[in-house]
Amino acid sequence: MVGEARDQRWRLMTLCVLFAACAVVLLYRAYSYQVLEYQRFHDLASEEHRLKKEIVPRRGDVLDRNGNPLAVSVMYKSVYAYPPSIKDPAAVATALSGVIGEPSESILAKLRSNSNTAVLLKRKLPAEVSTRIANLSLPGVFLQAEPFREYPEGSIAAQLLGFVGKDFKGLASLELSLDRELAGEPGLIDAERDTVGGEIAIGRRDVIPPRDGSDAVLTIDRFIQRMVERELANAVKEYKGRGGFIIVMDPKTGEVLAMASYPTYDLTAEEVFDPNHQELYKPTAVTDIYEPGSVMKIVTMSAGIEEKLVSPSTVFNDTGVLRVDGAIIRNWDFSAHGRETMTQVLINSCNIGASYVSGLLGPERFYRYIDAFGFGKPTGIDLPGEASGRYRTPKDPDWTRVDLATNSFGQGIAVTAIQMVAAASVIANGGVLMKPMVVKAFRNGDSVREVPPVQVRRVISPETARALTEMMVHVVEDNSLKLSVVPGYRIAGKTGTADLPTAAGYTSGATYASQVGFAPADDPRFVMLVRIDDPEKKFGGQVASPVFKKIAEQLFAYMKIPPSDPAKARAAAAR
Amino acid sequence: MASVLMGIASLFYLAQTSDLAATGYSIQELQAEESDLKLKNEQLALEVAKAKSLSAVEAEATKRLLMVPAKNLVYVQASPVDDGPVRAASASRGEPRSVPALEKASAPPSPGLLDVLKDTMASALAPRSLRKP
Repeated sequence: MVGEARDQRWRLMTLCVLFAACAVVLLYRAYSYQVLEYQRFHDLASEEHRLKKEIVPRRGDVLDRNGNPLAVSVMYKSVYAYPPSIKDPAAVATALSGVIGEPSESILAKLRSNSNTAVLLKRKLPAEVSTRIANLSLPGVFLQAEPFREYPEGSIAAQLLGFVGKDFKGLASLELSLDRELAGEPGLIDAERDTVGGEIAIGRRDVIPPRDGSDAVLTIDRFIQRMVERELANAVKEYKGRGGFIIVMDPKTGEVLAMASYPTYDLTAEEVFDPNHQELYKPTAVTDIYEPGSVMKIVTMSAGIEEKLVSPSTVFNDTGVLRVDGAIIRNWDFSAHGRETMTQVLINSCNIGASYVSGLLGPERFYRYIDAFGFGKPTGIDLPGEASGRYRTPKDPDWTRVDLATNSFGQGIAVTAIQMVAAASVIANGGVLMKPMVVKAFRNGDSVREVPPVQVRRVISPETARALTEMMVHVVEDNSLKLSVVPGYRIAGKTGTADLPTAAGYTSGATYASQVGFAPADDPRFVMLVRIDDPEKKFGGQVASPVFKKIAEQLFAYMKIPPSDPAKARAAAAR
Repeated sequence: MASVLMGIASLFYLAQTSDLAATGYSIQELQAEESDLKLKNEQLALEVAKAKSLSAVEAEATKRLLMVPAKNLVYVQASPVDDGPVRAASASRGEPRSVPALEKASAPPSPGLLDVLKDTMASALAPRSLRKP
């Protein structure tokens, strides 16, 4: 009996201890949740009814030098539907069909999909259409505002402007390189939400405003850009070429007025990016290298005159053949020009004459000038993917004296088009190299940040620049074709014809036909490079010169440049 | 008494809260309306920019106004302006009165280079129907 009573007490005691232990555990958990981990659970609870909404900043516009918009950001609304919330899909499809202009069958198919996420019915609705949809108050149908990039001038300067992706980030050219300035910084709405996700009107609301992107004012002139693109497309078709490009630049500031490439792509297309044509999206004038051919002779001759080794009237005997380290160098026309001045060397585009000058200079001085004119390194223009160009120097193990000779007339040396234009600008700008630029300023509200022109270095003296200018004027006026002469105007120029290298070497017969030049020669307002790739007629003088002339004539009129010889201009106009 | 005061205070609080909620919702509505108007404004600005684009202006000039591109621009040298001394009129002293500056300015000026250019372009761009054959 006594043993039974003791047994009961023990069991009772055990239960009491067990309950006490459970109570302690429960109390500890309660203490832990409510005191020790208070902040964590408070945050979790707050997060449940917290609304965090990003405020998308406005992407800055891209404007031409006169403030005309080339690429702008415009908000549109897109209409979406959430199928599980739609009770009568047929009625909704019928109601929407008349408003958004889509067949009700295709809308109905989307509404009847088993999607548990919102489906897009139509993007980029005009304001009046989105207002009409909002007024319909259709359950399960909602509108979402989204920014789109628009091009008021149509698809001009496509390879220069580039484009943005669906996330509105820059993917090519200026849209990519200026993305930081154009994109801005997003803002944030931090508020409380109700059970359906809407913002509680009387709840807490913290707003961090967005910083809108800056507008980029380019150095491009929309008129010149459009005209140059039109002339380039016509020239490529007329001369049955594969493509080409044209750059027009202000030699005194380095401001690029127009930069056109052909073939190009359509910025205004529904889907701009086509993975099969990625080569079209880069600004080839800065990303691609080529052998400039005889255009390079102006650089060689500048160096020779600056070093006082030759003058425009120095006479040289062109035998038509030059042997260098066992290699034979000939003129482009395989002829011998006999005794000729340095000016005639340029007029006749004599390879032997250019090799003669580079021989006088020697490798050290010749490559010093090649470097000083800006070849072999990026110019620093504000476009992505700029190439450096390439040439061998005596420091390279495979360099030979043949390189010195051929580099002097633009073979065995690869340059970008923008380097070639900048080098020609040295002569037009009295001997000073300017950094090419495409962005003139950034604007944000009332604040304007100007991008000043950058003077890189003095390359040659003003006297040498003047002498070269006169020689280049003779090249335009005294050659047999005279295809880039504009009556009444003094134009300085030099043509170039370079063999297009292929895997088999230089034997394809295809050429790059080019001309570089500037005008008016006495006070240059523009420098221009025209290159037509693989034209039916092979030479720069036959193909690029007429294009140069056509554009120069229009530039004279547009830029209000009067002729230096009005009588000659009048006589030509009267004919 | 205390409970009456409590009741009045509660009613006042309730009225304030509901008024605040109503105001909050109307603010939200106004914000939505504002963003709609901004969106409409952006779209209209785009339409204006498109109408001012070179292709639109060219189409208007050539198709509707039947203009043609200017060719053979003629630049004419502007004659130098004779800026002789202009003396103030002094009738009381009987001095000969020179031409006052204003009168001089109102006389038809000799055509400047830009004026001649504008005239030439205007005549070249005139509608075809008005041009001499």
